[in-house]
Amino acid sequence: MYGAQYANEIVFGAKCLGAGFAMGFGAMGAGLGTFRSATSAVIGMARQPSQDNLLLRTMLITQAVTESASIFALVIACLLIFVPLPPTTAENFWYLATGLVSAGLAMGLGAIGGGIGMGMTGAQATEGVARNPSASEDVQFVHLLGSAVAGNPTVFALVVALLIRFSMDYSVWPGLPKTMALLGAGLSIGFGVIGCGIGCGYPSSVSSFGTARKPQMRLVLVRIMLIGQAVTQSTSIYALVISLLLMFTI
Amino acid sequence: MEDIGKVWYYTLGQGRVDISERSLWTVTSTDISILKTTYIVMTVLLLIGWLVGRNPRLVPTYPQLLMEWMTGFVDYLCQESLGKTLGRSFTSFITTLFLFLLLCNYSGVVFLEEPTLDINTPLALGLMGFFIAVYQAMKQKGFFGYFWELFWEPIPVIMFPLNVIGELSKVVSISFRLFGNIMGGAVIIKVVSWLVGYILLPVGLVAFFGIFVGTIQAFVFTMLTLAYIAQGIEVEEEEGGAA
Repeated sequence: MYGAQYANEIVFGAKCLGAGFAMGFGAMGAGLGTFRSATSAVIGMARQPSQDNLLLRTMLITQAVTESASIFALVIACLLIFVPLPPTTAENFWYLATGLVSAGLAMGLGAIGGGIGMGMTGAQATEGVARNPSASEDVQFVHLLGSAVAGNPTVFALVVALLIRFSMDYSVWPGLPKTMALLGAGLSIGFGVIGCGIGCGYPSSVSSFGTARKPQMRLVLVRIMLIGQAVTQSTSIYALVISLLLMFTI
Repeated sequence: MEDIGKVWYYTLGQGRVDISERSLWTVTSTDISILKTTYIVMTVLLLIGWLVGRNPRLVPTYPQLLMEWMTGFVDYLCQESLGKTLGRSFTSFITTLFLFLLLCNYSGVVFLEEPTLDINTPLALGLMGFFIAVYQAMKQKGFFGYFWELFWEPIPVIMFPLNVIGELSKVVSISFRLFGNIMGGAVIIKVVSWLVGYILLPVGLVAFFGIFVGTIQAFVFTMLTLAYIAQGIEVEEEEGGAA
């Protein structure tokens, strides 16, 4: 095997590279998401100074929900760094290194879309609460449901990253095609869920805002939102299916 | 820095047994500690229910007021999304699920192992919600009506496998969301404790991840279960609704 004298160094480097990919990309989405609810809260406070406590609370809840995308990325990064690796041999180390990088890429890229989508939802919910403070409970309900669904693609990426890291058999060298398939699995779910996470954020953000405008219509809004998001989400499910196929049947 | 590794070993319930040696019937120390917390939580829930419910007053005491407010809120949400009669029959289930998850997530604050840190607990609860949703949908549309909808809905025949995967992915997403959030909190608390040399307990982090995120995620889990049940059935529009 090429580079066998550097096997341990290569695996260690791949571990660090994977953790860097996971946290570096994974922080982007939540960063681009959380500032929006803060902006909405500040504008809302300027418009309605009497509601500052309510707006602060809403902003904190929406930001905590949005952060969960980057928390997932942090989990994968810490697991890649600190969990003991399977034994490195002269045969398997390229496969192991590819798996580590692939897990990091899957989680890191996968956290971008969910963070942005959940952030949009939180921003519109905060703005809705600022416009109609009496509907804050209904807006919060729609926001939590909507951003939970908008975060689903990120959860799929988390699942694939955990599977790549912990459920593959790294003890033998399976050949170059399987190694590339493992990298492809990570890239498939990683890139596949970016658009879906952002896209699922749009319906939930407009339904959160719509709930603030017409609180009595929230059930219809939630129903249409969930159906629309389910169809939007099918693209990320395609990516999940292809990832699982690449990992387990190629 | 083996603590982070230990968090991982806790989370899939592998305990100190290597996964290759683990059979279906292996009971590890982690399983025991998770089960212990689960039983403590169940006992606390039963005690609260018994103490609050044994002597209801017309002018409520403070604990009774708290429980009535919580049950009333869940009852309102259930009736709103499932219709009046069906919603009322689901209130006790949804309230119990919410309180159980809440106490499970809070149990980390008092230095017990959170049962939700183990993927088995969220996965079992997610599967339970999924089967209840499927049962309700079958009850309303009939056994074949349910499958017909999967088979024929957006595009006939072609979409069938993807519809089935979409239904199953609900279980994965609902349970891994809870698991990932609680485990993220555990990992962050471990890392920060290690950075400050185990001298200082990161109180703010424990409060944030144990209480704040724990409450939000318990609520999200419960509401998603309710939404999945409501998605499968068609609610009759009633005059004035439950509100």
